[in-house]
Amino acid sequence: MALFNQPSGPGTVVGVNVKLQGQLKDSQDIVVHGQVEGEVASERNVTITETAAVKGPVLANMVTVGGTVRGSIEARDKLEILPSGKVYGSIATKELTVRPGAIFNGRSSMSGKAAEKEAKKEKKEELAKMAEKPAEGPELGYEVES
Amino acid sequence: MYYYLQEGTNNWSARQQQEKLRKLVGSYGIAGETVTPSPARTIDELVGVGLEKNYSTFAAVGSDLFLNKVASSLINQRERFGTERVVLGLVPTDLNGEISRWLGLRSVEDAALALKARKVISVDLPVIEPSKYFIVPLKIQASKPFSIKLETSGYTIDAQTTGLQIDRDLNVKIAGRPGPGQLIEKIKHFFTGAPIASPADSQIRTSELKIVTLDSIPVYLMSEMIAKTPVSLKIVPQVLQLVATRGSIS
Repeated sequence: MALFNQPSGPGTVVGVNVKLQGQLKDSQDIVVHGQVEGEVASERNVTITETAAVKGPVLANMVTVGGTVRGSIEARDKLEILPSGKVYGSIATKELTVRPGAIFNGRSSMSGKAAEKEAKKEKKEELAKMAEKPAEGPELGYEVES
Repeated sequence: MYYYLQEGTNNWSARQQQEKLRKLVGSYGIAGETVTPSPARTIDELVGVGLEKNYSTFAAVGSDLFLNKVASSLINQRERFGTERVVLGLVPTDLNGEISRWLGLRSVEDAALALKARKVISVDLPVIEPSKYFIVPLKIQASKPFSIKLETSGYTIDAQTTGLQIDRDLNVKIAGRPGPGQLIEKIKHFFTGAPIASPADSQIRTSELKIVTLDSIPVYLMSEMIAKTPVSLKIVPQVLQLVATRGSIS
């Protein structure tokens, strides 16, 4: 029998003048306007607004950064860094948008079908090139004694 | 047999609802003993009397605050009487109130039919430790903005606030400190239950929470002060056996 106490509503909002320390996890959306020191993880979307500063990893389906993130970001579907956004850390996502004016310092890696297809294509081309061109190295010869 | 705890009231509309319910339960064959608390016989005493008499079904009839008090008293006392499975039906006389909305009750007839059907569900409820259970939202308010620390199992929050509201799912709304001239409008907006509108406001959801303030701040259940900070709150799973209503089963 289903009961009353099922989670509903918008999830977590961290206000401008709020400082949160620790691990913030929610199955719903998370919006950060204030300061967070620690992991921010949602099963849906995380929005880090212009006034926000996050020090720690961010994990969600979709991540939008308008503030500052010092830490890694893993966006399962999409990551968008807005013009006011600053990201210092590695990012991993399927779809990446970096708006003009945004700052991103770190490593990025793309996943997803398009990225995998591209990687396979590159590998195939590389293999084809290698097959065309004989391997470089010392030539081996032998003499036949008669 | 049912044990009815009926709030004594001078409110004409509430009295009409109580009278209507009395007639309905009589016609459904579920009338029982009806008691009304007074300064001489408190809710706690009357709940204790009902438990002593081994009633298995209690029905509270009255305002949201009254229903909340009966529910809390019943949860606290039933263990003492070894009657863990006692069932509570809630009949709010304020049909636009929080409990009516929660239970999906639109009329006294709805409530009477639910009592007659007596389908039982277990519900989780939050408690201000050690023993103050609540159904309607709590408010922590002060006349001036104050600093607050909230500790959950995963994180701690430090904030400046003008007030907090905590509902029965331990959804906590923290009103951020407003700019000059915005105070009245902001409090009005915040406590009408409108969605978070200002980036100064916060909202969290947790199953356990400790609230600490520098000075002791009152905690209100509707109009009544029930505690002062620091307070610890937690959700107690399946703590109340409730008569199911249309809105309580999905």
